[in-house]
Amino acid sequence: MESRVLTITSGKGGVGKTTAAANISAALALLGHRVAVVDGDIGLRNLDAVLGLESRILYDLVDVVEGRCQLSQALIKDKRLPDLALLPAAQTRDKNAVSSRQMEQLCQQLRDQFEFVIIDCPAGIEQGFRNAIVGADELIIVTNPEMASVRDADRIIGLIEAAGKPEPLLLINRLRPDMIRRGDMMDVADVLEVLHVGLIGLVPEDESVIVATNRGQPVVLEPKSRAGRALTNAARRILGEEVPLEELESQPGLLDRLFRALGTNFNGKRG
Amino acid sequence: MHSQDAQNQPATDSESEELVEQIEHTEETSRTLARRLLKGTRNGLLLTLEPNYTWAQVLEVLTARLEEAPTFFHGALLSLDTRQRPLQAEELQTLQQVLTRYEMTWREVGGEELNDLRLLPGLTGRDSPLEGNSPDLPIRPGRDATDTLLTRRTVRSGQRLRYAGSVVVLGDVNAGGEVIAGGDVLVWGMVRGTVHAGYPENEQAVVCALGLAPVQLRIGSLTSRPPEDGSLAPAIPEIASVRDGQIVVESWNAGRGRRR
Repeated sequence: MESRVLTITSGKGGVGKTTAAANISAALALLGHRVAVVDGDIGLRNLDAVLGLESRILYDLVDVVEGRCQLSQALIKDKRLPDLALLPAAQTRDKNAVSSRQMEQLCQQLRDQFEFVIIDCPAGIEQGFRNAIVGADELIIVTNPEMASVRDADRIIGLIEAAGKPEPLLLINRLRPDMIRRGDMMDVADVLEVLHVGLIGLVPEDESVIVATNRGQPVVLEPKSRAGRALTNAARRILGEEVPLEELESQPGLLDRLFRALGTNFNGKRG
Repeated sequence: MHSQDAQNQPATDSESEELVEQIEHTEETSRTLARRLLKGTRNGLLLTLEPNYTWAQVLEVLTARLEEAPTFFHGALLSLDTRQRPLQAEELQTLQQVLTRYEMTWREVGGEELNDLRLLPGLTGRDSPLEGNSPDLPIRPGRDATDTLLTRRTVRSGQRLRYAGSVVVLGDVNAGGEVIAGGDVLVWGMVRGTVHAGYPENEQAVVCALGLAPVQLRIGSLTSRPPEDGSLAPAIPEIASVRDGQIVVESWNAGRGRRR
């Protein structure tokens, strides 16, 4: 089977990239796929903490590219999820410690061993971003339904376009149906109207994400969490399953509006 | 090592052999070299910088071609393909000297822009943001005001479209994106970014869009911003033009369109 390298990016920080990367990776592993998740945020790592694997780091990504260890020595197996492995970032270096070429080679090495390579991209549009997208076959943009993060997502989509990568898919995170209903938050159609890209998932704001993150436990392992279910559904869509988009609680007519938005936004590509 | 390198085709063996041949048959060299380095495109000349040739050789090829038809190239646009070799500062100086003689302008292209060059006549200088922002390139005001560039894309944040003639965008112009045209700008979509029609000072130019909610709208030397009372612009087709020294935005009524 062809392995797939998938980068999760956003431009803006704090929108939930790392949470999305950790949980989509965990969900794919739960669904029986061999997954490596790579922390691209050199110098500001926290994917390891989100996955609760911080204490097990011996070597990191920079050690691998600089030849101080074998790739297999740096990969951390997740005990809860035998199909998931983490390649942690170095904390004592910065984004310029790795070149795009080295990152590309690293992706190639990971392809040999895993079905999915998920890269958690750092915020920003500098070297760290370029490294995170250089080896990617597919990209997911995480955005929140607010102006600043949508604008950054737009900028990132332009950069991805310019890098000759395929069109990214959108994961809208931290949706709050109550605020949308009051007209205090952009809704899904508003976001799509600006960005004109396809959707991979809609994740509601959910306290269980914070609780799970603090415990170092992927939220997709918690069957009661709405965000966990939404992220699992995103993973299923990545696998090609047709999972209907979550009807956000108590928001009448959302899907109608959504489909209308999709219909008008993708008219250039439907043929 | 920048990211666009991945797209470049390395020189193949047959190409290097061709090079050897060229050096042997000096008689043939200049013409072959000219064909190799300098190509005519739909919107001007495309000069390719290759590491195997000196700047003097490149410049000679260019000068020879321009001398062949000085009036034809007058005011034209020269595109420089710098993917294989960057242009040095001192080289730029000598290039400027040559181009000034013909009142020509130049721009740098690479990677994706090269495709645009073939598909979109006259796209002058879309930023290549991954390589850092390119400097503002001169555009030729007025001269090509009858030319129209049709582009089928969303002009996204950080992207800039500059053209000496008029521009039609089939898509949106998002916040943070810019369209600068010597003539009119017509957007078949929403304008949320910055649009400058009639650059630098043609106040006859107009901007029309299916929805006008720009960050800033400029026509000629005038600038207008949306009202700051937070009211949302209606998403209806509108036209902006200059009247009595002011930018006026009106809804577009079919059949009552402004005729010039």
